Amino acid sequence: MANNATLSARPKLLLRKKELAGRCLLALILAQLLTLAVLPELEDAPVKATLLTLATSIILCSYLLYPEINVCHYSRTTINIIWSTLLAIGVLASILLNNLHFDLILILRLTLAVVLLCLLLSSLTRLISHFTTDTSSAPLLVFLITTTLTTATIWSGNWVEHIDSQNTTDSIIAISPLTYLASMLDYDYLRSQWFYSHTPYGSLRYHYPHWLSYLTVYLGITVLLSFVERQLKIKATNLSSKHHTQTETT
Amino acid sequence: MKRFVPIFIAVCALLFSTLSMAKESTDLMDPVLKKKAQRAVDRGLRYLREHQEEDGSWSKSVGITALALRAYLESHRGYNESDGAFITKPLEFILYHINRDGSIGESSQNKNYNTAVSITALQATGNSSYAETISNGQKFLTGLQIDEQEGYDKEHKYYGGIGYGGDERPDLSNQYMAIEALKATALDKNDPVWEKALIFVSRSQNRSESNDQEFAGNDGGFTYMPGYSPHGDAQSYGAMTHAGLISLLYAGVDKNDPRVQSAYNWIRSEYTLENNPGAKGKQGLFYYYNAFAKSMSAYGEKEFIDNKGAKHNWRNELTEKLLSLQDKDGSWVNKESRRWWEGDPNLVTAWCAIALNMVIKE
Repeated sequence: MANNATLSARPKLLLRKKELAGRCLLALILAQLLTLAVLPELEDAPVKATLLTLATSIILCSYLLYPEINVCHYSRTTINIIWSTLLAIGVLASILLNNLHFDLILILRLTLAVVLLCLLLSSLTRLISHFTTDTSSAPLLVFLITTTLTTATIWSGNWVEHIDSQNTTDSIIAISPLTYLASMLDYDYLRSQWFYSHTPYGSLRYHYPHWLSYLTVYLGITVLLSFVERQLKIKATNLSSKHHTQTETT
Repeated sequence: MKRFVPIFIAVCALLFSTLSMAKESTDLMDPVLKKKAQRAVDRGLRYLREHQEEDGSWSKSVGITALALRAYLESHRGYNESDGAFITKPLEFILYHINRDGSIGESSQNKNYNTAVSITALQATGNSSYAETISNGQKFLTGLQIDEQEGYDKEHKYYGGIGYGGDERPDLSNQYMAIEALKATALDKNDPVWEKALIFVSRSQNRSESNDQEFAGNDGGFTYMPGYSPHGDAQSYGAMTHAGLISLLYAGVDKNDPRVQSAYNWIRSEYTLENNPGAKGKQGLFYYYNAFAKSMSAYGEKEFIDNKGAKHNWRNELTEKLLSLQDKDGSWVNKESRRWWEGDPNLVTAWCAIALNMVIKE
């Protein structure tokens, strides 16, 4: 009986694996196209700027194509780890594809950062999905949050120079995943030509968080989100079984 | 008759010397203003001393610390290391932040600015024990220059430029700071860095005869970098035109060179101390005053005539302006714009004190 069940689930599982790989490939292609579209805007951009654009595009595109997997033999955590790892491999592949010669340690740091950020966003997606009725709205919501935070150093530019607070400036810079990725590359992106021309940040005093602090904080948030999500899941399961028992008794 | 000849000569000589003295007195700085400028510097330095951190720094920044230290060392009081911890501790703070690559700074940001102002301050001590640090700093700064080693050829608009010191583009502000430091620390005049620097400096000037870039205008002023100004398009503005003039003169360009004359003419025609001409609002105002004092001092004229025919004794006018902007506590700060860190009174006070030191020094 058990063997029959496993056999019947196999094609479905295979389909999910293919879907996962397909979505990842599509995300990478989209990210590559986005990078190619953005690069001409970054006139005479250094390699670090290309790497930063590529990594950011991959993260944003990946959440447009985040796999909505409910029927699967893998646990959500496993799916997220596979998804994040696939994207990280994609980052490395894109770097090779674009023939970007760069310090290997910084590339590995960036790849690790992409994995961690993807895991964090996956955990956030799972948590949010507990509060939404439509399962596809959680990834979209996470995408919107990520995009808003990533572009924080752009849209906040108009008013930040009028706020006489070093902490506010530093906080806005720190919450942006773009800063997180840039710190992995040791890249002062706010003083790059594009940012210097389009935002006032480059002319203000600011501090970037250290890349190790960033990794620690992002890891901590991921663990916390996963913990909360697990608790909610246990609670939901308990409630469901209680409700089921009550219905059966009635 | 012969007896009257020596008397006549003596009278003529007396008359001539009196006239010369009268002319000189209009050219030189007003002695009353000079005294006031000295007092303003003293008050500024007192403010800085009151706001010095425990570790000897100002605003926990190597750059600001170096500038404040320079303000002390170049002041009319002639402070030096024997005057106490308020001079030696900031020096220790600077030396503590020496990096392996020869740069000096507390972070990987602003490496050029921090190193440039640090080696300038170390040089101002006159202490030969800093020679190695200064030499390493010079090597770091010259190594930042964009040239063939970074894969850029002479045709590229960035060629010869120096930027913040990371992977950012070069700009004239960073370039002028580096040039000032290399000049102050007596880098060899035959070093190729000067010639390359002049290529970038010329490309930042709105003068199509000496600027091969398409954007180049013809007003003679300077912009932030080839083809870009933070105040719109490739517009010339005061702070950068003074930075450009300093760069040209320090890099060894003759005072009569057309590039120098064009920049000087722009300065005369756009002259004002009410704002940073060509800039938005009051942005970069004190940077402008600081660069103004340095460039006018380097140019070496006591007076200039603006395009309306009015004569200006720049020392008197800059002193009056800075005196009017000094706060009661002795500090200066840009109250209308915090761009380029002008919201930090430690930095702005250091800049103003350095500018007044230039004025007083004559």
